[in-house]
Amino acid sequence: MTHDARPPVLKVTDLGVSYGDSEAVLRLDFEIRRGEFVAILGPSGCGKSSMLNVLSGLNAPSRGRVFVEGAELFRPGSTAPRLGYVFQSHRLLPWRTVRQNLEIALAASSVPKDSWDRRIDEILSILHISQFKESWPMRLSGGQRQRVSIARALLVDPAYILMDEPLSTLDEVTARALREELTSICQRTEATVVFVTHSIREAVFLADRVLILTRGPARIHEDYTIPLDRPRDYDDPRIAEIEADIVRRVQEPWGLVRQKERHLA
Amino acid sequence: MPDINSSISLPMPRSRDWTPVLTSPWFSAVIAIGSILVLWFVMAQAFRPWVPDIDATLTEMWSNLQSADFWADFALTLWRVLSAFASASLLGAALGLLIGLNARAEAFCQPLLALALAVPDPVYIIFAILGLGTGELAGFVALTIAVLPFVANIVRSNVQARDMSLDEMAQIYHLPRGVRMSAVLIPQIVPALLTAMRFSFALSWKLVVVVEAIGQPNGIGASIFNSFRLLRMREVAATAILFILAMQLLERGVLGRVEKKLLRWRD
Repeated sequence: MTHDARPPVLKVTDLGVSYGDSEAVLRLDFEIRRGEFVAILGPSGCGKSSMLNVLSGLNAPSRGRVFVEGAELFRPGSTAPRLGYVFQSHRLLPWRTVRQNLEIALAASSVPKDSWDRRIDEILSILHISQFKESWPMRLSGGQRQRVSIARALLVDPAYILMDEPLSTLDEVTARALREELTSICQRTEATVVFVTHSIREAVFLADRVLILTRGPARIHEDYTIPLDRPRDYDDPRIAEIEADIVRRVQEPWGLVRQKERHLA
Repeated sequence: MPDINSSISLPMPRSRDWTPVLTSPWFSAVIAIGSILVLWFVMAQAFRPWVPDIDATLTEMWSNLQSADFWADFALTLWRVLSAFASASLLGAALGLLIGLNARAEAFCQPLLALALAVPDPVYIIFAILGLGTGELAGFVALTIAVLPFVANIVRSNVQARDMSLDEMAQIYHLPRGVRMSAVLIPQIVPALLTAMRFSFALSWKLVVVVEAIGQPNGIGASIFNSFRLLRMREVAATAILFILAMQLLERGVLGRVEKKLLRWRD
Protein backbone atom coordinates (compact mmCIF):
# COMPACT_ATOMS: atom_id res chain seq x y z
CA MET A 1 0.00 0.00 0.00
CA THR A 2 1.45 3.40 -0.85
CA HIS A 3 1.22 6.37 1.52
CA ASP A 4 -1.10 8.23 -0.79
CA ALA A 5 -3.71 5.46 -0.70
CA ARG A 6 -4.28 5.94 3.00
CA PRO A 7 -6.84 8.54 4.12
CA PRO A 8 -5.44 11.65 5.83
CA VAL A 9 -6.06 11.72 9.57
CA LEU A 10 -4.67 15.18 10.03
CA LYS A 11 -4.71 17.92 7.43
CA VAL A 12 -3.30 21.37 8.06
CA THR A 13 -3.71 24.20 5.58
CA ASP A 14 -2.11 27.64 5.73
CA LEU A 15 -1.65 27.34 9.51
CA GLY A 16 -0.33 30.44 11.24
CA VAL A 17 0.12 31.24 14.92
CA SER A 18 1.00 34.68 16.15
CA TYR A 19 1.18 36.36 19.54
CA GLY A 20 0.39 40.04 18.99
CA ASP A 21 2.78 41.23 16.29
CA SER A 22 5.12 38.30 16.75
CA GLU A 23 4.65 35.35 14.38
CA ALA A 24 5.49 31.91 15.82
CA VAL A 25 4.32 29.75 12.91
CA LEU A 26 3.91 30.80 9.26
CA ARG A 27 1.73 29.12 6.61
CA LEU A 28 2.17 25.46 7.37
CA ASP A 29 0.59 22.99 4.95
CA PHE A 30 0.85 19.26 5.49
CA GLU A 31 -1.12 16.04 5.69
CA ILE A 32 -0.55 13.01 7.87
CA ARG A 33 -2.07 9.73 6.77
CA ARG A 34 -3.44 6.88 8.83
CA GLY A 35 -0.71 4.75 10.38
CA GLU A 36 2.05 7.18 9.43
CA PHE A 37 4.85 8.08 11.82
CA VAL A 38 5.84 11.65 11.03
CA ALA A 39 8.66 13.42 12.82
CA ILE A 40 8.70 17.18 13.06
CA LEU A 41 12.23 18.43 13.24
CA GLY A 42 13.15 21.98 14.05
CA PRO A 43 15.67 23.97 16.04
CA SER A 44 14.84 25.10 19.58
CA GLY A 45 12.41 28.01 19.70
CA CYS A 46 11.22 27.61 16.11
CA GLY A 47 7.53 27.40 17.07
CA LYS A 48 7.08 23.65 17.49
CA SER A 49 5.24 24.11 20.80
CA SER A 50 2.88 26.68 19.29
CA MET A 51 2.11 24.22 16.50
CA LEU A 52 1.54 21.39 18.99
CA ASN A 53 -0.82 23.54 21.03
CA VAL A 54 -2.95 23.95 17.93
CA LEU A 55 -2.78 20.28 16.92
CA SER A 56 -3.75 19.24 20.45
CA GLY A 57 -6.77 21.56 20.41
CA LEU A 58 -5.47 23.72 23.27
CA ASN A 59 -5.12 26.94 21.26
CA ALA A 60 -6.89 28.09 18.12
CA PRO A 61 -4.60 29.16 15.26
CA SER A 62 -4.38 32.80 14.22
CA ARG A 63 -5.10 31.72 10.68
CA GLY A 64 -5.52 28.58 8.59
CA ARG A 65 -7.51 25.43 9.13
CA VAL A 66 -6.98 22.06 10.79
CA PHE A 67 -8.96 18.96 9.83
CA VAL A 68 -9.01 15.77 11.89
CA GLU A 69 -10.53 12.79 10.07
CA GLY A 70 -12.26 15.24 7.76
CA ALA A 71 -13.87 17.37 10.50
CA GLU A 72 -12.62 20.90 10.94
CA LEU A 73 -11.36 21.87 14.38
CA PHE A 74 -11.99 25.21 16.06
CA ARG A 75 -15.25 25.84 14.25
CA PRO A 76 -18.25 26.80 16.38
CA GLY A 77 -19.83 23.56 17.57
CA SER A 78 -16.86 21.39 16.60
CA THR A 79 -15.58 18.87 19.11
CA ALA A 80 -12.00 18.74 20.39
CA PRO A 81 -9.76 16.18 18.67
CA ARG A 82 -9.63 12.65 20.09
CA LEU A 83 -5.91 12.30 20.63
CA GLY A 84 -3.21 10.82 22.78
CA TYR A 85 -0.37 12.98 23.99
CA VAL A 86 3.02 11.91 25.28
CA PHE A 87 4.61 14.89 26.98
CA GLN A 88 8.26 15.63 27.50
CA SER A 89 7.75 14.89 31.19
CA HIS A 90 5.30 12.09 31.94
CA ARG A 91 2.51 14.20 33.54
CA LEU A 92 1.06 11.24 35.40
CA LEU A 93 -1.00 11.92 38.50
CA PRO A 94 1.36 10.85 41.33
CA TRP A 95 -1.53 10.17 43.74
CA ARG A 96 -3.05 7.58 41.37
CA THR A 97 -1.63 4.18 40.62
CA VAL A 98 -0.64 3.23 37.08
CA ARG A 99 -4.01 1.52 36.58
CA GLN A 100 -5.91 4.51 37.96
CA ASN A 101 -3.95 6.89 35.71
CA LEU A 102 -4.97 4.84 32.70
CA GLU A 103 -8.58 4.57 33.87
CA ILE A 104 -8.89 8.31 34.21
CA ALA A 105 -7.92 8.77 30.56
CA LEU A 106 -10.34 6.03 29.56
CA ALA A 107 -13.15 7.67 31.57
CA ALA A 108 -13.08 10.62 29.19
CA SER A 109 -12.92 8.44 26.07
CA SER A 110 -15.63 6.54 24.23
CA VAL A 111 -14.16 3.16 25.20
CA PRO A 112 -16.87 1.04 26.89
CA LYS A 113 -16.21 0.48 30.60
CA ASP A 114 -16.53 -3.30 30.47
CA SER A 115 -13.46 -3.49 28.22
CA TRP A 116 -11.21 -1.23 30.32
CA ASP A 117 -9.54 -4.01 32.32
CA ARG A 118 -8.75 -6.07 29.24
CA ARG A 119 -7.39 -3.08 27.35
CA ILE A 120 -5.26 -1.92 30.27
CA ASP A 121 -3.80 -5.41 30.72
CA GLU A 122 -3.08 -5.64 27.00
CA ILE A 123 -1.37 -2.29 26.68
CA LEU A 124 0.69 -2.78 29.85
CA SER A 125 1.79 -6.15 28.52
CA ILE A 126 2.79 -4.64 25.15
CA LEU A 127 4.88 -2.04 26.97
CA HIS A 128 6.35 -4.63 29.38
CA ILE A 129 5.11 -2.90 32.52
CA SER A 130 2.35 -5.29 33.63
CA GLN A 131 4.08 -5.79 36.99
CA PHE A 132 3.67 -2.07 37.78
CA LYS A 133 -0.10 -1.98 37.30
CA GLU A 134 -0.79 -1.18 40.95
CA SER A 135 2.37 0.87 41.57
CA TRP A 136 2.51 4.57 42.37
CA PRO A 137 4.25 6.56 39.61
CA MET A 138 6.83 7.84 42.10
CA ARG A 139 8.06 4.28 42.55
CA LEU A 140 8.85 3.94 38.83
CA SER A 141 11.97 4.93 36.92
CA GLY A 142 11.87 7.70 34.31
CA GLY A 143 11.68 5.16 31.47
CA GLN A 144 8.86 3.22 33.14
CA ARG A 145 6.86 6.40 33.72
CA GLN A 146 7.26 7.34 30.09
CA ARG A 147 6.05 3.87 29.11
CA VAL A 148 2.91 4.48 31.21
CA SER A 149 2.51 7.82 29.48
CA ILE A 150 2.74 6.07 26.09
CA ALA A 151 0.22 3.46 27.30
CA ARG A 152 -2.18 6.26 28.28
CA ALA A 153 -1.87 7.82 24.83
CA LEU A 154 -2.45 4.55 22.99
CA LEU A 155 -5.30 3.45 25.21
CA VAL A 156 -7.88 6.09 24.32
CA ASP A 157 -8.35 5.04 20.68
CA PRO A 158 -6.81 8.28 19.45
CA ALA A 159 -7.15 9.62 15.93
CA TYR A 160 -3.48 10.50 16.28
CA ILE A 161 -0.82 10.70 18.96
CA LEU A 162 1.30 13.76 19.58
CA MET A 163 4.69 13.12 21.12
CA ASP A 164 6.62 16.14 22.30
CA GLU A 165 10.28 15.10 22.68
CA PRO A 166 9.19 12.24 24.97
CA LEU A 167 12.62 10.63 25.19
CA SER A 168 14.70 13.75 25.66
CA THR A 169 14.76 13.53 29.45
CA LEU A 170 15.84 9.86 29.55
CA ASP A 171 19.35 8.47 29.61
CA GLU A 172 20.62 7.28 26.23
CA VAL A 173 20.42 3.55 27.00
CA THR A 174 16.77 3.78 28.14
CA ALA A 175 15.90 6.13 25.29
CA ARG A 176 17.42 3.74 22.74
CA ALA A 177 15.43 0.79 24.11
CA LEU A 178 12.21 2.82 24.11
CA ARG A 179 12.79 4.07 20.55
CA GLU A 180 13.02 0.49 19.32
CA GLU A 181 9.91 -0.52 21.23
CA LEU A 182 8.04 2.55 20.09
CA THR A 183 8.48 1.70 16.43
CA SER A 184 7.28 -1.87 16.92
CA ILE A 185 4.32 -0.80 19.10
CA CYS A 186 3.24 1.85 16.61
CA GLN A 187 3.45 -0.64 13.76
CA ARG A 188 1.52 -3.21 15.76
CA THR A 189 -1.24 -0.79 16.80
CA GLU A 190 -1.18 1.09 13.47
CA ALA A 191 -1.07 4.35 15.41
CA THR A 192 -0.74 7.65 13.61
CA VAL A 193 2.05 9.58 15.31
CA VAL A 194 3.33 13.14 15.15
CA PHE A 195 6.69 13.05 16.90
CA VAL A 196 8.40 16.33 17.69
CA THR A 197 12.13 16.19 18.22
CA HIS A 198 15.29 18.15 17.68
CA SER A 199 17.38 14.99 17.35
CA ILE A 200 17.96 14.26 13.65
CA ARG A 201 19.08 10.67 14.23
CA GLU A 202 16.01 9.96 16.36
CA ALA A 203 13.78 11.38 13.63
CA VAL A 204 15.49 9.28 10.96
CA PHE A 205 15.29 6.11 13.04
CA LEU A 206 11.64 6.48 14.00
CA ALA A 207 9.81 8.21 11.21
CA ASP A 208 8.37 7.42 7.80
CA ARG A 209 8.60 11.11 6.93
CA VAL A 210 10.39 14.05 8.49
CA LEU A 211 8.94 17.55 8.24
CA ILE A 212 11.94 19.84 8.53
CA LEU A 213 11.01 23.26 9.88
CA THR A 214 12.93 26.48 9.47
CA ARG A 215 14.04 28.67 12.35
CA GLY A 216 11.17 30.66 13.89
CA PRO A 217 8.71 31.67 12.68
CA ALA A 218 8.41 28.06 11.54
CA ARG A 219 7.77 27.16 7.92
CA ILE A 220 8.15 23.76 6.33
CA HIS A 221 11.56 23.71 4.71
CA GLU A 222 11.31 20.16 3.40
CA ASP A 223 9.10 17.08 3.58
CA TYR A 224 11.74 14.34 3.70
CA THR A 225 10.73 10.70 3.17
CA ILE A 226 13.01 8.21 4.95
CA PRO A 227 14.05 5.62 2.36
CA LEU A 228 14.50 2.74 4.83
CA ASP A 229 12.44 -0.38 5.51
CA ARG A 230 11.52 -1.58 8.99
CA PRO A 231 12.73 -2.87 11.33
CA ARG A 232 15.64 -0.48 11.52
CA ASP A 233 18.87 -0.65 13.44
CA TYR A 234 19.89 2.50 15.30
CA ASP A 235 23.53 1.80 14.42
CA ASP A 236 22.83 1.15 10.73
CA PRO A 237 25.38 3.19 8.69
CA ARG A 238 22.55 4.20 6.33
CA ILE A 239 20.85 6.03 9.23
CA ALA A 240 24.10 7.92 9.82
CA GLU A 241 24.25 8.77 6.11
CA ILE A 242 20.68 10.10 6.06
CA GLU A 243 21.40 12.02 9.26
CA ALA A 244 24.44 13.63 7.60
CA ASP A 245 22.35 14.44 4.54
CA ILE A 246 19.68 16.15 6.67
CA VAL A 247 22.37 18.04 8.60
CA ARG A 248 23.62 19.40 5.26
CA ARG A 249 20.11 20.38 4.25
CA VAL A 250 19.32 22.25 7.49
CA GLN A 251 22.52 24.34 7.49
CA GLU A 252 20.87 27.22 5.71
CA PRO A 253 17.31 27.16 7.11
CA TRP A 254 18.53 26.76 10.69
CA GLY A 255 21.04 29.61 10.26
CA LEU A 256 24.03 27.33 10.89
CA VAL A 257 25.93 28.61 7.83
CA ARG A 258 25.77 32.18 9.02
CA GLN A 259 26.84 31.12 12.53
CA LYS A 260 29.82 29.23 11.08
CA GLU A 261 30.84 32.21 8.89
CA ARG A 262 30.55 34.55 11.84
CA HIS A 263 32.68 32.18 13.91
CA LEU A 264 35.37 31.96 11.19
CA ALA A 265 35.37 35.74 10.70
CA MET B 1 64.96 2.13 79.90
CA PRO B 2 61.88 0.63 78.33
CA ASP B 3 61.35 1.26 74.66
CA ILE B 4 58.20 3.31 74.42
CA ASN B 5 57.86 2.65 70.71
CA SER B 6 57.50 -1.06 71.19
CA SER B 7 54.19 -0.80 72.99
CA ILE B 8 51.97 -3.81 73.35
CA SER B 9 48.51 -3.30 71.97
CA LEU B 10 46.02 -4.41 74.58
CA PRO B 11 42.37 -4.98 73.73
CA MET B 12 40.46 -1.87 74.78
CA PRO B 13 37.22 -2.43 76.68
CA ARG B 14 34.40 -1.81 74.16
CA SER B 15 32.22 1.04 75.28
CA ARG B 16 28.54 0.86 74.35
CA ASP B 17 27.54 3.10 71.46
CA TRP B 18 24.81 5.40 72.82
CA THR B 19 24.37 7.38 69.60
CA PRO B 20 21.13 5.66 68.48
CA VAL B 21 19.55 6.21 71.90
CA LEU B 22 20.69 9.84 72.16
CA THR B 23 19.45 10.71 68.69
CA SER B 24 16.10 8.91 68.95
CA PRO B 25 12.95 11.06 69.07
CA TRP B 26 11.82 9.20 72.20
CA PHE B 27 14.91 10.30 74.08
CA SER B 28 14.28 13.93 73.07
CA ALA B 29 10.66 13.63 74.21
CA VAL B 30 11.68 12.16 77.58
CA ILE B 31 14.21 14.98 78.08
CA ALA B 32 11.59 17.60 77.14
CA ILE B 33 8.95 16.18 79.51
CA GLY B 34 11.53 15.80 82.28
CA SER B 35 12.59 19.43 81.84
CA ILE B 36 8.98 20.61 82.08
CA LEU B 37 8.44 18.59 85.27
CA VAL B 38 11.63 19.99 86.81
CA LEU B 39 10.59 23.53 85.88
CA TRP B 40 7.10 22.91 87.25
CA PHE B 41 8.56 21.58 90.50
CA VAL B 42 10.81 24.65 90.90
CA MET B 43 7.94 27.04 90.09
CA ALA B 44 5.64 25.23 92.54
CA GLN B 45 8.24 25.69 95.30
CA ALA B 46 8.80 29.35 94.42
CA PHE B 47 5.21 30.48 93.82
CA ARG B 48 3.16 28.38 96.22
CA PRO B 49 0.11 28.34 96.26
CA TRP B 50 -0.37 29.97 92.82
CA VAL B 51 1.48 27.19 91.06
CA PRO B 52 0.12 23.84 92.33
CA ASP B 53 2.30 20.83 93.24
CA ILE B 54 2.76 18.09 90.67
CA ASP B 55 1.38 15.29 92.84
CA ALA B 56 -1.65 17.33 93.95
CA THR B 57 -2.40 18.16 90.32
CA LEU B 58 -2.11 14.52 89.29
CA THR B 59 -4.53 13.57 92.11
CA GLU B 60 -6.95 16.24 90.89
CA MET B 61 -6.66 14.97 87.29
CA TRP B 62 -7.53 11.46 88.45
CA SER B 63 -10.59 12.69 90.34
CA ASN B 64 -11.60 14.74 87.26
CA LEU B 65 -11.47 11.60 85.16
CA GLN B 66 -13.90 9.97 87.56
CA SER B 67 -16.24 12.97 87.66
CA ALA B 68 -19.43 13.02 85.55
CA ASP B 69 -19.40 16.87 85.56
CA PHE B 70 -15.96 16.90 83.95
CA TRP B 71 -17.04 14.52 81.17
CA ALA B 72 -20.23 16.54 80.56
CA ASP B 73 -18.16 19.72 80.16
CA PHE B 74 -15.63 17.85 78.06
CA ALA B 75 -18.29 16.47 75.70
CA LEU B 76 -19.89 19.90 75.30
CA THR B 77 -16.56 21.59 74.56
CA LEU B 78 -15.55 18.84 72.16
CA TRP B 79 -18.80 19.27 70.28
CA ARG B 80 -18.20 23.03 70.05
CA VAL B 81 -14.62 22.49 68.85
CA LEU B 82 -15.59 19.94 66.21
CA SER B 83 -18.54 21.93 64.85
CA ALA B 84 -16.49 25.16 64.62
CA PHE B 85 -13.56 23.25 63.11
CA ALA B 86 -15.75 21.52 60.53
CA SER B 87 -17.60 24.64 59.43
CA ALA B 88 -14.44 26.78 59.29
CA SER B 89 -12.54 24.09 57.37
CA LEU B 90 -15.29 23.42 54.84
CA LEU B 91 -16.23 27.06 54.24
CA GLY B 92 -12.59 28.16 54.25
CA ALA B 93 -11.55 25.45 51.79
CA ALA B 94 -14.48 26.26 49.49
CA LEU B 95 -13.69 29.98 49.61
CA GLY B 96 -9.99 29.28 49.04
CA LEU B 97 -10.78 27.16 45.99
CA LEU B 98 -13.10 29.81 44.58
CA ILE B 99 -10.59 32.63 45.07
CA GLY B 100 -7.73 30.50 43.78
CA LEU B 101 -9.54 29.55 40.59
CA ASN B 102 -11.46 32.72 39.78
CA ALA B 103 -9.69 36.03 39.20
CA ARG B 104 -12.88 38.06 39.75
CA ALA B 105 -13.62 36.30 43.03
CA GLU B 106 -10.04 36.95 44.08
CA ALA B 107 -10.26 40.64 43.20
CA PHE B 108 -13.42 40.90 45.31
CA CYS B 109 -12.42 38.71 48.26
CA GLN B 110 -8.71 39.42 48.61
CA PRO B 111 -9.05 42.80 50.44
CA LEU B 112 -11.71 41.29 52.72
CA LEU B 113 -9.49 38.32 53.43
CA ALA B 114 -6.52 40.58 54.22
CA LEU B 115 -8.69 42.58 56.61
CA ALA B 116 -10.10 39.44 58.24
CA LEU B 117 -6.60 38.08 58.80
CA ALA B 118 -5.54 41.32 60.49
CA VAL B 119 -8.40 41.38 63.03
CA PRO B 120 -7.41 39.90 66.43
CA ASP B 121 -9.51 36.82 67.31
CA PRO B 122 -10.95 38.20 70.60
CA VAL B 123 -12.53 41.04 68.60
CA TYR B 124 -14.67 38.52 66.69
CA ILE B 125 -15.67 36.88 69.96
CA ILE B 126 -16.64 40.19 71.60
CA PHE B 127 -18.63 41.37 68.57
CA ALA B 128 -20.38 38.02 68.25
CA ILE B 129 -21.43 38.10 71.93
CA LEU B 130 -22.57 41.72 71.55
CA GLY B 131 -24.54 40.92 68.42
CA LEU B 132 -25.88 37.45 69.16
CA GLY B 133 -25.85 37.23 72.96
CA THR B 134 -24.15 34.52 75.01
CA GLY B 135 -25.90 31.56 73.36
CA GLU B 136 -24.34 28.74 71.39
CA LEU B 137 -24.68 30.60 68.09
CA ALA B 138 -22.42 33.50 69.12
CA GLY B 139 -19.50 31.20 69.88
CA PHE B 140 -20.03 29.15 66.74
CA VAL B 141 -20.18 32.22 64.49
CA ALA B 142 -17.20 33.90 66.17
CA LEU B 143 -15.05 30.80 65.86
CA THR B 144 -15.99 30.14 62.27
CA ILE B 145 -15.28 33.73 61.24
CA ALA B 146 -11.99 33.78 63.16
CA VAL B 147 -10.61 30.54 61.68
CA LEU B 148 -12.06 30.68 58.15
CA PRO B 149 -9.70 33.35 56.69
CA PHE B 150 -6.61 31.33 57.65
CA VAL B 151 -7.93 28.20 55.97
CA ALA B 152 -9.08 30.13 52.88
CA ASN B 153 -5.71 31.84 52.57
CA ILE B 154 -3.68 28.60 52.78
CA VAL B 155 -5.93 26.86 50.23
CA ARG B 156 -5.97 29.85 47.85
CA SER B 157 -2.19 30.14 47.71
CA ASN B 158 -1.81 26.42 47.05
CA VAL B 159 -4.48 26.38 44.34
CA GLN B 160 -2.63 29.17 42.57
CA ALA B 161 0.72 27.40 42.95
CA ARG B 162 -0.59 24.10 41.51
CA ASP B 163 1.10 22.26 38.65
CA MET B 164 -0.51 23.79 35.56
CA SER B 165 0.95 21.11 33.30
CA LEU B 166 -1.48 18.64 34.87
CA ASP B 167 -4.37 20.99 34.04
CA GLU B 168 -3.13 20.96 30.45
CA MET B 169 -3.00 17.15 30.46
CA ALA B 170 -6.57 17.05 31.81
CA GLN B 171 -7.71 19.41 29.06
CA ILE B 172 -6.00 17.44 26.28
CA TYR B 173 -7.51 14.17 27.51
CA HIS B 174 -10.94 15.86 27.85
CA LEU B 175 -11.37 14.93 31.49
CA PRO B 176 -14.83 16.05 32.68
CA ARG B 177 -14.94 19.04 35.03
CA GLY B 178 -15.86 16.90 38.05
CA VAL B 179 -12.97 14.52 37.43
CA ARG B 180 -10.56 17.41 36.96
CA MET B 181 -11.65 18.72 40.34
CA SER B 182 -11.62 15.42 42.22
CA ALA B 183 -8.66 13.69 40.55
CA VAL B 184 -6.38 16.52 39.45
CA LEU B 185 -6.96 19.67 41.51
CA ILE B 186 -8.05 18.50 44.98
CA PRO B 187 -5.28 15.87 45.42
CA GLN B 188 -2.72 18.55 44.56
CA ILE B 189 -3.88 20.72 47.42
CA VAL B 190 -4.40 17.88 49.94
CA PRO B 191 -1.12 18.67 51.75
CA ALA B 192 -2.24 22.30 52.05
CA LEU B 193 -5.72 21.23 53.16
CA LEU B 194 -4.20 19.06 55.86
CA THR B 195 -1.99 21.93 57.03
CA ALA B 196 -5.07 24.16 57.04
CA MET B 197 -7.02 21.54 59.01
CA ARG B 198 -4.29 21.14 61.61
CA PHE B 199 -4.08 24.91 61.96
CA SER B 200 -7.85 25.24 62.04
CA PHE B 201 -8.19 22.54 64.70
CA ALA B 202 -5.44 23.98 66.90
CA LEU B 203 -6.96 27.46 66.67
CA SER B 204 -10.52 26.17 67.17
CA TRP B 205 -9.97 24.42 70.49
CA LYS B 206 -7.99 27.29 71.94
CA LEU B 207 -10.63 29.83 70.89
CA VAL B 208 -13.48 27.62 72.15
CA VAL B 209 -11.91 27.68 75.62
CA VAL B 210 -11.69 31.50 75.44
CA VAL B 211 -15.31 31.80 74.21
CA GLU B 212 -16.51 29.54 77.03
CA ALA B 213 -14.51 31.47 79.61
CA ILE B 214 -15.94 34.79 78.42
CA GLY B 215 -19.52 34.00 77.60
CA GLN B 216 -20.67 30.45 78.38
CA PRO B 217 -22.00 28.94 81.61
CA ASN B 218 -20.64 25.48 80.82
CA GLY B 219 -17.81 23.68 79.08
CA ILE B 220 -14.12 23.25 79.89
CA GLY B 221 -13.36 26.97 79.41
CA ALA B 222 -16.14 27.97 81.82
CA SER B 223 -14.99 25.32 84.32
CA ILE B 224 -11.40 26.63 84.19
CA PHE B 225 -12.61 30.21 84.61
CA ASN B 226 -14.82 29.27 87.60
CA SER B 227 -11.91 27.49 89.30
CA PHE B 228 -9.73 30.54 88.64
CA ARG B 229 -12.32 32.87 90.23
CA LEU B 230 -12.29 30.69 93.34
CA LEU B 231 -8.47 30.59 93.24
CA ARG B 232 -8.46 26.78 92.97
CA MET B 233 -5.29 26.64 90.93
CA ARG B 234 -4.98 22.87 91.28
CA GLU B 235 -8.33 22.47 89.48
CA VAL B 236 -7.32 25.00 86.80
CA ALA B 237 -4.13 23.10 86.06
CA ALA B 238 -5.73 19.64 86.18
CA THR B 239 -8.62 20.54 83.84
CA ALA B 240 -6.37 22.43 81.44
CA ILE B 241 -3.80 19.62 81.23
CA LEU B 242 -6.44 16.95 80.63
CA PHE B 243 -8.09 19.00 77.90
CA ILE B 244 -4.77 19.83 76.20
CA LEU B 245 -3.76 16.17 76.26
CA ALA B 246 -7.09 15.12 74.73
CA MET B 247 -6.82 17.72 71.96
CA GLN B 248 -3.23 16.70 71.19
CA LEU B 249 -4.32 13.08 71.04
CA LEU B 250 -7.09 13.98 68.59
CA GLU B 251 -4.83 16.13 66.45
CA ARG B 252 -1.94 13.69 66.27
CA GLY B 253 -4.07 10.56 66.29
CA VAL B 254 -6.97 11.31 63.97
CA LEU B 255 -5.50 14.02 61.74
CA GLY B 256 -2.17 12.21 61.66
CA ARG B 257 -3.84 9.02 60.43
CA VAL B 258 -5.88 10.88 57.84
CA GLU B 259 -2.69 12.54 56.62
CA LYS B 260 -0.84 9.24 56.41
CA LYS B 261 -3.66 7.64 54.42
CA LEU B 262 -4.16 10.52 52.00
CA LEU B 263 -0.45 10.99 51.34
CA ARG B 264 0.52 7.29 51.19
CA TRP B 265 1.56 7.71 47.53
CA ARG B 266 4.56 9.73 48.71
CA ASP B 267 6.07 6.88 50.78
